[in-house]
Amino acid sequence: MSSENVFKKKISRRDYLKFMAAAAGMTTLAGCAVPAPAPAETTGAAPAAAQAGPKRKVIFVTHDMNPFFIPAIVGLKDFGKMANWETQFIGPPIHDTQKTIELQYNAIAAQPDAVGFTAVDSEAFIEPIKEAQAKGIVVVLYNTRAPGVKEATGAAYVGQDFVVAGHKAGYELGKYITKHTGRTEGLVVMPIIAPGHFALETRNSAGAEGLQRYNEEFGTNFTTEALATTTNADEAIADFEAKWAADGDKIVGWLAADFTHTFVGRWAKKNNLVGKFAVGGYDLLDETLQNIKDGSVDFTIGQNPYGQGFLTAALIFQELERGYPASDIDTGAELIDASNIDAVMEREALWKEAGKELGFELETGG
Amino acid sequence: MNQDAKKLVDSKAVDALLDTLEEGAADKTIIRAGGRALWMARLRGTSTVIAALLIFVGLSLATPLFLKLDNLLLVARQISILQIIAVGMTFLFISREIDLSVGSIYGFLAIVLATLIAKQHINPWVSLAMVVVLGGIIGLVNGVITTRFGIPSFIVTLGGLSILRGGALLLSGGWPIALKLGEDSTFPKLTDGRLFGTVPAQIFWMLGITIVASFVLSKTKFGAHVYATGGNEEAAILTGIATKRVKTISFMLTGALCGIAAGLLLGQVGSGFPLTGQGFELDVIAAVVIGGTPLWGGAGSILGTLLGAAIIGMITNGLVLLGASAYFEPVAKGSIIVLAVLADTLIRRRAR
Repeated sequence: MSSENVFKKKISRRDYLKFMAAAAGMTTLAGCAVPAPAPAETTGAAPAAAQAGPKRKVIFVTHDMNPFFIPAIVGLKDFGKMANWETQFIGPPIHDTQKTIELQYNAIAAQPDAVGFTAVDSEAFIEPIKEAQAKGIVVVLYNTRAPGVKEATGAAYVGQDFVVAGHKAGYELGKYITKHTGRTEGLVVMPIIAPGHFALETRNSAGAEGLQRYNEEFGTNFTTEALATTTNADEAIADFEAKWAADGDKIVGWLAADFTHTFVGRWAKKNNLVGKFAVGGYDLLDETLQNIKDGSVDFTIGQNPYGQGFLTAALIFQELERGYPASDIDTGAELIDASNIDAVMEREALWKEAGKELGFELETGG
Repeated sequence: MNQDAKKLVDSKAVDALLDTLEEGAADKTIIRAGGRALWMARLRGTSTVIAALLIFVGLSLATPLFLKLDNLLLVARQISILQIIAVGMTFLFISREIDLSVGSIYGFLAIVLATLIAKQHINPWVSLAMVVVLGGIIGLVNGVITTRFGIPSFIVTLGGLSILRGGALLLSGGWPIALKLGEDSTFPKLTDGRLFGTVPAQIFWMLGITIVASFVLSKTKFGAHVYATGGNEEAAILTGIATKRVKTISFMLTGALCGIAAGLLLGQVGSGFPLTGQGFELDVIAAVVIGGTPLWGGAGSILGTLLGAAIIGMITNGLVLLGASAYFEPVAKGSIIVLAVLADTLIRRRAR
């Protein structure tokens, strides 16, 4: 887009600054390890329409419409309302690469001004991203960008660095194992709901590396083992029970690649096992936070899914209306444990209210 | 056997069957005895055509983006894999069997194919031939267990669904397998290229398989045996049709087609994913049912299944173009399946 065209858009400097200030606020929040309540305009009621720019059509496609993405939808809609956009958020009901690609192509066929895509594989998503770019559609990736996609497409990314998050989780789990069990060796079970999912597999392998670093520093010998499970709580708990029956004497911790540590906490409470092992994982389900509060889960790592919607939209706005190319934003690996759980629960309640005003029942965050 | 099938056996079918056994023209009799079923299938087929046309016209009026050539080709490409697998499932439905493991067979074969190409460095076309044969063998196992041991196919293939999904995960270690084919490779060109610079190759694969399968089902002795097996298995056995073999071949065909579908997928996306095809069996079954093939066998057509797949493809594409919520697509698909089965039931009632 030429600079001449860019400045023909009916956007005041004040509006632009408002958007960028909000985006900068979110970036700071994302990178901040200690959570703090976010500004009222991004956490409370949905922002009022500002009629700030031309009517743009922006479509986000995700690889899996699970409740984790609801804050991302809210984030997109919040920004879309401010920018007077027509927004859409789509994805297959369960993780499915083929269907995700189909939906990406359908989104491109809808001739939007910009798209937000997830790219959970190094090869499969390059073609649709390139096709969108060739048609002049702005593409920003969010939540997951597999290795090689940036090199092949140049598309910017808003989301967590899964290696950093995994290292942090693995090392943290080591500390809690020592605290709870006092043992120097044992097995850490790593539940994973979608084997083959780039982000989850990366978290697991990086988690094992983080735990290994703890082993080297403290002379322990904790090993890891993946456990395929599901998002269905009953089935997941049955998996945990079976694993506990088989290896209960060896298990010293559970480190989920996703939010299933919540189910570990639920199961541990029901069976009086709280404190017999360490429990950690990712994302911010309501129940996860409650479990941290009552001690059945030790920690969870957040990735700010609201920011993944809002900041991705902000980058799109920046490129569409001002011509500045989007660049990567790390939405962080926020550690939530007993030390900051109250502040986080207060913050998440605010997001929940914002979600309700947009017509969603927020069950989880990240 | 349900009451309807009994009625058929008790009345015209048996009389005609006995007459023709004497005359030695069993196949013709079986087809004649199933005349009512064929009439019902035609009526049901007409309703599928009308439904497809209504959706097509409705979407064309609702959004100008739908009728664009690029978009129509996109829809056709997107239903290619679905239709190819649904062709096999149509044979199974008509012979009154089902394969719930098609999504897992497809996913497992995609991982096997990716492994052969990327890790064993076997020529992609030879690898594809190998997974097509492997798919046929998996179908053979399903067919033999179902027909020789008398275990319902939905139970056999439900087990297969789980076993093969686990097999894909074990083989891949949970990670995607990238093909990394050279630019001079003919494999991606012939599985994902654009013929005449416009038409995606997948559409030609789909149409080729649809035409051949349609011919086999409607014009050959084997096709007649498939209808006879599903329409009235006892009568078919009396005429000397090896119904177990017919069913087993249908399972093998379905497995082999899953192999071809896996090849087309890998040609397009360049990677094999262990979770490929998760839940895909529901889409395949939906295409067959919407396309007018009844759950109780003995009727249906490949072209009807193509229309069923097209309806699913148009809904998926149309909802995105119309800006509908992502949560609405499963509701729309489910509603159409229910309407299709309802139409079947009403037509059957009127036919009595």
